[in-house]
Amino acid sequence: MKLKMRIKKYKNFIIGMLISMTVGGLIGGLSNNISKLNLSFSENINRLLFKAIFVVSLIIIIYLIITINYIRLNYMKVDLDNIPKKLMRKVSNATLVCTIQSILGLTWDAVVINKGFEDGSIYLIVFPTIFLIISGYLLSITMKYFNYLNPKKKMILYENGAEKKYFDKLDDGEKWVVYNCSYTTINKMQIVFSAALVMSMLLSMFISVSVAVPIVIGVIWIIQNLIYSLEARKYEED
Amino acid sequence: MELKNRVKELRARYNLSQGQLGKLADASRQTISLIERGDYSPSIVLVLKIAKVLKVSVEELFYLEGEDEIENEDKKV
Repeated sequence: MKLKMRIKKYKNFIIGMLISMTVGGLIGGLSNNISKLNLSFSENINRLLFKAIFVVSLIIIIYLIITINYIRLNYMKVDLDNIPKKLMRKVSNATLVCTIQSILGLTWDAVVINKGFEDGSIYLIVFPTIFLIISGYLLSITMKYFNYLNPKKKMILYENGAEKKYFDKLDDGEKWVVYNCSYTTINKMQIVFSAALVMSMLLSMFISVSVAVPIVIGVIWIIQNLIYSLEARKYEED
Repeated sequence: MELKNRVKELRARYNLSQGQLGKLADASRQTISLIERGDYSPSIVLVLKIAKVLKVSVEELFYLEGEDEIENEDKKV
């Protein structure tokens, strides 16, 4: 009876392990054959990546301009006690997409610098930098609209401690939302980091993946947990 | 037992929007929305404030789902 209960308890774990073992075994066997082929993937990935990020960035910037223009035309007309959901959704979407575009711009800069020195195409750094400046500018405009619509929870890009200052002003429900979002983020990031590490391991069997990739993922993962742990300890002291 | 409420129903009676009710009860629109959806259990202070605005008792505003069934079973016993 006890054994049955134990098997039931660890059923998902056992199934997961069996699938991982089978997939791992297959990939391991196949990688031995595939790695002998010269796919030259790493040589072309830089150009492919440049073009892909350029197209994605262009689409994102066009979307942002349309969205921010909609917000600009409507934000002054609304009653601040009853802000239409559509407008608030557009503001939060624009903030999120601007942030993603800024991160994408920085990553793109890093990719160009990484490969540009080798083949003398460092001048290409102009493209990601322009996109980075545009997204930063659009983010500052979006934040201006957000702050107008949410006077109690202003976003300030360069002010340290702004979160604390405005967090204290939030009511219980809003604080619960902040807690819930933060907790879910940190929880899901553990899965994302482990998946990224596994992906880098699997990819390294087929293509040339820099050793820096798993190191950076691991370091960021450790730093995230350290920050969480140290912040939590602050509040445990007497 | 799950905490349920009649905030949405009673708010509609007074033709109040979530933002207006929030302002009267000293809470944000988002908090009222969370309470109505049952995602967030409010503090006693906020419950009392909402009940006062909607002119009902706390028991009329908030109730535990399945409470009536248990009460009926108790009576049978």
